[in-house]
Amino acid sequence: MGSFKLTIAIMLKLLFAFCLSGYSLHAIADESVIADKSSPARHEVTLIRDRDYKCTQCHKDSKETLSGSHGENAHESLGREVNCTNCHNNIGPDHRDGAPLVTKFSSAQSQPGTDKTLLSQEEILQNNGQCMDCHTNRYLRSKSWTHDVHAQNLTCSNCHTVHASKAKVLSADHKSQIKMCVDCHSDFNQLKEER
Amino acid sequence: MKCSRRRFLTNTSALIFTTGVAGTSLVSTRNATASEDNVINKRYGMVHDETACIGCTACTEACREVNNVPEGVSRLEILRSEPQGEYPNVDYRFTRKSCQHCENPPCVYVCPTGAAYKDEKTGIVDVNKSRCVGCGYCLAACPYQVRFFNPVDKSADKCNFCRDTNLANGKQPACVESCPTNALVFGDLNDPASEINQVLESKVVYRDKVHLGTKPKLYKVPHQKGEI
Repeated sequence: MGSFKLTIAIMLKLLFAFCLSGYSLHAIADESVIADKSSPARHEVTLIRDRDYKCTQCHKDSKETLSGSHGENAHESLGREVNCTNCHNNIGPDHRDGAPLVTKFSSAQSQPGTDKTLLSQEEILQNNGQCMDCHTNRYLRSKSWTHDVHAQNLTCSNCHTVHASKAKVLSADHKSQIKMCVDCHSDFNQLKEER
Repeated sequence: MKCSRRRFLTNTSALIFTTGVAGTSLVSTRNATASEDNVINKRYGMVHDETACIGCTACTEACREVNNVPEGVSRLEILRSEPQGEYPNVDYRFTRKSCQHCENPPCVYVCPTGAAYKDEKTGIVDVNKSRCVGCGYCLAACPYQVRFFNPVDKSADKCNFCRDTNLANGKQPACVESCPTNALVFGDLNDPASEINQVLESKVVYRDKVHLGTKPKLYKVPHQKGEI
């Protein structure tokens, strides 16, 4: 009889201990769930592929120089990074063979000059359209009146460097800026007189 | 012999007579040319071709450099109009604002010390800086508003066609030299063969505020763009 009572007492104690441990486990589990909810819920999937990776394998400095002119400011107004193909589209299959198809931004003017590329006014207007999608006419006029008179006579790169922070006309002081006007205008004026 | 003496006398007298007349006439003609040189002075003027001007202001900078004009003031300005037309066909008009070198210069007439004067030999209106007291009467009298106080020497200052600098060195004024489109022509209005007179004959020109009777010597070829 004595041993029977002892076994019942031990079983009751074990049951009690089992309940206690179960309760404490449940409490720990509850707490951990609460902690999970307070941290950012989901992992956001981002595109880690570099769109310009292929370009910068050869054009090594281009991305860096571009950040000078089309860096944070452009990022802010566009809401995204400026990529190579935003401007240099139409790369073409024979890109490594002189790249005849890709959109380039070189100097050209509508009036003949020595050592100058000549384009028609329509072509110049069309070529500058890429830049003027963002750099609107009104903004350009507020910066300098010379944009107005050259709108269909010069491509932007005559006076500006697209891949640099402060270059060409933007880096020049007042006197050097005037010299840029004088150099070009006296050049084609001379040609006119020779005819 | 008698005959030969008579002949000798008549010959010599004839010789003296003819050479004397010729000699005096030679001398007198030389005098006449010399006096003409003295009478006909130079009368410098300028033409600004507004159809050729591109508004680059190279002239303003060249003037500043050659004549040591301090920052903040200028003897010569190129005034730019409001934009004309719609993008992409926008244009501007330019005109020159500088001393007109009037033949009847109001600034000279009002100057109490005689510092402002018109040089009769060249027609250039200039300032004798040592005599200028800085009263500012000329600044107020000039209908073209081209005079200013030089902040360095405190005297009235203005364009004098580079009289002390380029002109003295036998060169054209700095603005004329620097112009990339040859929009400025400078020369003697009294010389019928000068380039300026040829331009004045071949092109339509105007002068500012002629009705005031100042007889300005800065001529302008009017731009032919947009509304007038």
